[in-house]
Amino acid sequence: MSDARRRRKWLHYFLLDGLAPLAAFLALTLLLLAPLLPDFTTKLIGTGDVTANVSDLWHAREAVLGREPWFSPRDSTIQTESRCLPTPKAR
Amino acid sequence: MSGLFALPFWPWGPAAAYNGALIIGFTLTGWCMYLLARTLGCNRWVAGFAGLVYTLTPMHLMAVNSHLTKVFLGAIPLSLLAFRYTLIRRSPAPWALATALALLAALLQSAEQWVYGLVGCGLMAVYALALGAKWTAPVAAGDGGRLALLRRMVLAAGAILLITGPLILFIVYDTRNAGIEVGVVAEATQHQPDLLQFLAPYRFGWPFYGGRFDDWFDSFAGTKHETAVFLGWTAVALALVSLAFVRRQVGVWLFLLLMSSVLALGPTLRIGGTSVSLGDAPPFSMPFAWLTSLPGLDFMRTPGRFMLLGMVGLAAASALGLGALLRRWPRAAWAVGAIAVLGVLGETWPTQFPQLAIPPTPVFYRQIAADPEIYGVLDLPMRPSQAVDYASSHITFSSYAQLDQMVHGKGIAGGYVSRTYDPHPIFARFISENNLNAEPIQQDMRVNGEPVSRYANLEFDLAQNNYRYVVVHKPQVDHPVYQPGSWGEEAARALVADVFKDRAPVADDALATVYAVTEPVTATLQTSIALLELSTNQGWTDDRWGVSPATFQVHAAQPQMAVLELTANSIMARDFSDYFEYATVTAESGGGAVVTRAPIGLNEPVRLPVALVAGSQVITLTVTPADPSASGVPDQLLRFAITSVDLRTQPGEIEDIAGMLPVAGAEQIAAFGTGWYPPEGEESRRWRWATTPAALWIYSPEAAPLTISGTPLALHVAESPDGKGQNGVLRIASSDQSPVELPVTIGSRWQAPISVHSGWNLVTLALDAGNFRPVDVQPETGDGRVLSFALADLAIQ
Repeated sequence: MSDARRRRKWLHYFLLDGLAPLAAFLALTLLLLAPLLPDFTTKLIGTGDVTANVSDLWHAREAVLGREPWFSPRDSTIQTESRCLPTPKAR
Repeated sequence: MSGLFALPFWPWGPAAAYNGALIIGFTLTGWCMYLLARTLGCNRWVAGFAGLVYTLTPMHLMAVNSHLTKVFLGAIPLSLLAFRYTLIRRSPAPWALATALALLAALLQSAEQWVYGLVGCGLMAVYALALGAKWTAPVAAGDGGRLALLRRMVLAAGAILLITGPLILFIVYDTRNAGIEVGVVAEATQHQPDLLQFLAPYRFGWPFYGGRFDDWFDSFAGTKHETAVFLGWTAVALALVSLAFVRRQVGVWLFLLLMSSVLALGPTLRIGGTSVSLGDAPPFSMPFAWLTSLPGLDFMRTPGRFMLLGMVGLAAASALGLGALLRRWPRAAWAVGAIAVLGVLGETWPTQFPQLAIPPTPVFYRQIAADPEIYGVLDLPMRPSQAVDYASSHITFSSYAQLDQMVHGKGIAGGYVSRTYDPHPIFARFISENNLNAEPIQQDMRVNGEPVSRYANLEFDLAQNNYRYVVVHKPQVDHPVYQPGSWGEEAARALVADVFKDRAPVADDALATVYAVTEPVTATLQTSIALLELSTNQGWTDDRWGVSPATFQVHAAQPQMAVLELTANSIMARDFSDYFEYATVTAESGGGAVVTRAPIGLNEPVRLPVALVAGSQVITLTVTPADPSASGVPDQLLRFAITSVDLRTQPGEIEDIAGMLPVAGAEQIAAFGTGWYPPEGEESRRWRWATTPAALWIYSPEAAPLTISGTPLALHVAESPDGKGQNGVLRIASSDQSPVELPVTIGSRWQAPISVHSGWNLVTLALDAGNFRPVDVQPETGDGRVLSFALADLAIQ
């Protein structure tokens, strides 16, 4: 198979098995959540545990940015119970 | 994984980040299932149907309500896709690697998804080995083929071990060392689905059902978001079609569905709210109980989530069935497809999801966000309501402090997790579901007979643990759970009044009042004691229970010996299965150097010597059966209902049950520990009998070499007719040095060096000849004591 044909085949897969179904499932998701999307930047979708979940995402962001450790320091004196990435601001 | 999905959305704030992660996770879940279906030979439309079925899995939809960990499920179908290719493709190595990477993605999303992926691969392996060439051609052919399969499985297992193993080991190590209670499998009975819930929808699927099954399920179903295991009638019908037309391809997926459903049923088989048993026997155990009895798997408490794996099987099987129908009736393809899609949508399309506005953050928190220093803030109230339920649990309520933490970036005292510290590592005296009393004074915890506050010396602990501010949040009308007039506000104000007295706050606005923490001098501490309560709700309202090993926080202004007087009105097994009239209580204090035991009976005060240091410390009381061999449970720990715990510190109290030794240093303390009998002799020259080993408790403010001396008045010699002789060898040991062997003679004063560290030390004296009972060698004495040596003039210099 020539390089050009191989590239065309991959592009074909990328579009039809990659982008197209991704767009379809994104559309399905947006349809499911449509009534809530106007509040996308102001309200959390869900209730209950979401307050803790968003905090976990924040810890993950801080860890990715190198501002916090990925795991709890075990000699921490300021303890927390936060899931995944316990409070890193320990003495 | 969700944390990574959220990253591009952070510039629009935390709500956008969360919602964005949710949307990406949801989208990728459908797409990953689509990819798996494509590798099974489904065309793009049918593969899309598989993705639709998996995306609209009830438990997945329920996750939008509150469980972000279940929103992205794509790693499960991806791991199955890759593992299947490991078994059947000509080059297995890249697919073994892909399996491991998919499982790593599952692990990064949640540990239980890793388990589901692994169980899925394991089930597929079992199926492949059982069917051999019938399923896995072209690789397998007869027994030789099974061997080839086995090699590929070992290859995949090696890759999984190599890539996910280190993280698993780290997680295990971290949880074991963090003091978190991880084994919560006992809660599975609260969350296990009923068999009937697989067959009919419960609280979703409005287009067709309009909630007509809800009232019925409400009477017996468990937690609705953990028992959302409805399979969907359309998907099941198509799976049955696949069984008729493409049995060979669909077998493994139906096997996966069947086995996952069995696991999802939980520890027992529950039908119509009743666990099924055979005859009069207790309900029989289901595979979930066997699985979670394996080492390390007792963290799983939600059996219904196994359907996150099982629905991959159903989505694949239904897609294969739909594909078969479309091939059989190509002219009716659009109609068949539309009916299938509408059927799935109608069965599971949810009613509107809830929303939550993030409460505003106090201005003070925005101010300290710019402070580069590292310290903690204590958010109050501990919880909003006196009654303990989901919304007013201190664990779930502390998630609001986590929201504020996203602004100020300082340490906080709590956080919402399902696996908690029990008790809370620092503030267990008031951060507990069992603290139902806003009143600071605890009637059952006393010092010298007077009830003490549970918040006594709290400012000292705050400062010691680098907390700089106490922030009392004001209730808000529009807050989801913390409303004006709540119990939580009353309790928080009581704490502040008790700790800060008339001190003015450093900040006060519409949202919060802030108090600054200053560190009191240790010498000014008030002697206090408080029960460190278990974090999770224990359900008692009257007497508080100590659950062995029960811990008490004690503060003292200076090091000293004291007496702990415990009165218990009930002693039971920890699971309340047994009741005890008598038991043994062991007190551990002085940093573990001072351990004393005594028998305890109901409503009879028992007095135990304890050693205190200056500052804060923990004393442990452990109650065990008086006769461990009769209890039938080795090392059984008991719980005890506390009438009172009284810490008695007045001079003279300790002399009654232990006795002090003369010491040369003004700051050193020494006391007779275990193994000594009451003093005998004249007032001018006291001496004591001792057993071997006999303990001395010595306190020193700093590490120091000391000298211990004494004069033997009696020494046990085994060969002697009366059990006593002139000479012996005394071994003197401390935790800081190996034993010193000392030849000793009656009437001759000996002395020996000992090294002690700062704090309390345990020093033991042991005679090589051991112990004897006078009554055994001279029956006429009637003296049944166990004796070894008698010493006078014992002193520490």
